[in-house]
Amino acid sequence: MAEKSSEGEKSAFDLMHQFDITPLKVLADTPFAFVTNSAFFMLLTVVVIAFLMILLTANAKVVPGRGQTLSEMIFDFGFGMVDDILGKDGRAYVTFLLSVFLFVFVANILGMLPYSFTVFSHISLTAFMAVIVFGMVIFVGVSRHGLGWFGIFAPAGVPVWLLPLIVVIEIISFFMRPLTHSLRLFANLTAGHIVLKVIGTFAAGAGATSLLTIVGGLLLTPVLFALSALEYLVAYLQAYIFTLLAAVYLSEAIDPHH
Amino acid sequence: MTPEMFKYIGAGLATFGFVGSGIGLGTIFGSYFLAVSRNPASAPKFQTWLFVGFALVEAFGIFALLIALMIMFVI
Repeated sequence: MAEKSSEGEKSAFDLMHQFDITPLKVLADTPFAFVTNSAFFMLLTVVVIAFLMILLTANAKVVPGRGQTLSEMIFDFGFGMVDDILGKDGRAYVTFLLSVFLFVFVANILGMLPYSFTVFSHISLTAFMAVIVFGMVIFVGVSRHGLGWFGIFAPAGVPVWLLPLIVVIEIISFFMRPLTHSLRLFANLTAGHIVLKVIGTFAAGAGATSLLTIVGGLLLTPVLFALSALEYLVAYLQAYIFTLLAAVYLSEAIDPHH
Repeated sequence: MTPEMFKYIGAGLATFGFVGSGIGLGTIFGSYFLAVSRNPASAPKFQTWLFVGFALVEAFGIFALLIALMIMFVI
């Protein structure tokens, strides 16, 4: 707590310290000294997803058991979302979208564990994910419709004298997408974890000696519980919205004239 | 008043952009509940687009946050 954060700021309780990327101390003397906590938790996320899915679908039967039902629910969720937004034509992209969803969701849930690291509280990572989606949209659009796909910048039915303005606005909003896409996930997770830290610091005051901090801490502990529940909701909702927006952007690439 | 103080004031003022985002989100969710209470069977149909609208409206609040963060940490 008393350590300096990367910003070089010091305060009684350091809110940003939980987001510091540092090499793992356990691996300091091994050849893997370059592994940071961020890299470790990304790796852990992938391992958790892979093991979970392998375990759940290990001996798939026609009549599913409990584990297989869970895995089928995950797939139904992905297919339902893709059918809603992309239509039957977009089923080829369900693997991509479901991978994105599971990666973000499991990383967020792992980040909620005490002493863990929230991978997507760093804009570099969320921006990376958003740029992948952005590149995928352009690739799919151009490969399916050729260069004529860029006609989405000039929507049909717009008066000719308005076209220059509309095209400029459309291009700007198109290139703003990865920015908002990544900032949404980053901002929600960072803000949520900072609020948790603030309330958590007050709640930890319940163990202190001063009467004021004890009363305040006891009062704020239920708030901490409620906020933790809210953060789990945010962890799911932001993963869902991230995937949903990726699907909406992809739908424009698959069928630009709807 | 040092320039540092003005930076903090500016960052705080930049978060006023969330007012618009909040009004928009209220409208979206209010309309959703109105629609669903009139026709409960339509809830699943609207739900996906509810979240798309939620995300798009929230984007403008996020622009405000971006400007606040830029004032705080970049400039």
